[in-house]
Amino acid sequence: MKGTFKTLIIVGIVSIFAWTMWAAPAAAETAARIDTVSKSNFGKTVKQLETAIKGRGMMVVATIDHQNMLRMVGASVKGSKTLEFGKPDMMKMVIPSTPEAGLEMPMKIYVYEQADGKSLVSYVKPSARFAAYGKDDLNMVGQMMDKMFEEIVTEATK
Amino acid sequence: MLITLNDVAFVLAGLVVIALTLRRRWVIPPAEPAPPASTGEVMLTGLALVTAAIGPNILVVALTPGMPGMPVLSLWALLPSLVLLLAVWGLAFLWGYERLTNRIWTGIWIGGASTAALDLFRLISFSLGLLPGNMPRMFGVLILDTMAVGPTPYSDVVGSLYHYWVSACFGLTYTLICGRTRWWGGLIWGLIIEVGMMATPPMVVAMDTGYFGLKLGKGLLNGVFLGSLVPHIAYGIVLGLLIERYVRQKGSIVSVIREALTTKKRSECGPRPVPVSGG
Repeated sequence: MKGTFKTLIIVGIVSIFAWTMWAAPAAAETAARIDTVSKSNFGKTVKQLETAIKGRGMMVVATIDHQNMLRMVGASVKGSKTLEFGKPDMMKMVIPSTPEAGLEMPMKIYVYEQADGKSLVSYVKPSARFAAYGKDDLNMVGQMMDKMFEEIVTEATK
Repeated sequence: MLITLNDVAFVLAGLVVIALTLRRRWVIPPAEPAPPASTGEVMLTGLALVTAAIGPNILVVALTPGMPGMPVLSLWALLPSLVLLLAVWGLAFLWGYERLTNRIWTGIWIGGASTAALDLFRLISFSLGLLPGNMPRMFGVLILDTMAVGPTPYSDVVGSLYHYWVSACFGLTYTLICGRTRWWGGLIWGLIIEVGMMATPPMVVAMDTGYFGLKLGKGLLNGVFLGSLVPHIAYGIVLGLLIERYVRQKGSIVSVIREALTTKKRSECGPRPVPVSGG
């Protein structure tokens, strides 16, 4: 009886430890990653996203069409595109003060189609990306960008 | 769609050319007597061989780490090689090197047309999942530098043109080096090309198959090796069948060089033979 009780306590402690190890980063990821279901189809969502980005004076520097690319290697997937975008003055707020944060530029938003035909627009909050650098000015830029991303995605998913 | 209309159109066009040209000369005509060789012909043959080497090798160079990419090489090596080949053909025509003009023209169209036989089996292999990619579609995005957006109808046409040109270069290389041979000469050439393809960066590095696809397991019975061996056998056989019908003279590049050197020595040592005028 005593042995069983001891075993239960050990299993309990190990379980709590394992759960905290697993749950902590998962929760952070959930907070950082935003997935928004679009009211429009895939093609229209991408178009609206491009319009929303350009409407804020930014440039789409690259569109990566995963679906089309995968056709070359014999894989068939639903709509899947990544839009990379930015503008020089946005970079100016980041790279001169924190050159190592250049890794986060340009910003990107991913649009993909699920099996049920619904399209989702996903991104990782800039504030979460910049938080890793531990600089206040960069955190402020990140929060400002969060707001801009939210507006862009709202416009793209209408 | 994994196989595009462009793929099908190129194959159909090539198969029609193969069928019509084989039907036209179903019975193999006898080889024509070889015209006298000259140093000029040998020099032009060498230049034509250089141009034939550029087409396939820009891909090997482009996929080698540290080397310029396909957009640069296409512009600065491939296009000039086409111009140079046209110039070589023009000079050979002007100077009356009938054997060389026949070998250049025949090598190109036979090599290009035979690609349809290769593609027929290549597309089947690709559809069965044996080959890791639809290579001409990749060539298109590599040449136009549009990998991010993936293939478009335009890039597919560009890629197929390059793919067929590469095969034309292999046909040209064969006719320039070997001249007219039996059909199995083409088959051996197809197998040599297969060995080359299985051991160079486009497959080994870019497609990450390892040498002869050995990285995929199953030894030489792996899908990549078998899936490309059969198309190259088909290419070689059709190439050989057309060569023995359309290349006019026998005689490899070695015999042409030997004869050119002998003629030169003779002309240096003694009086030139006086041509006998008929009538």
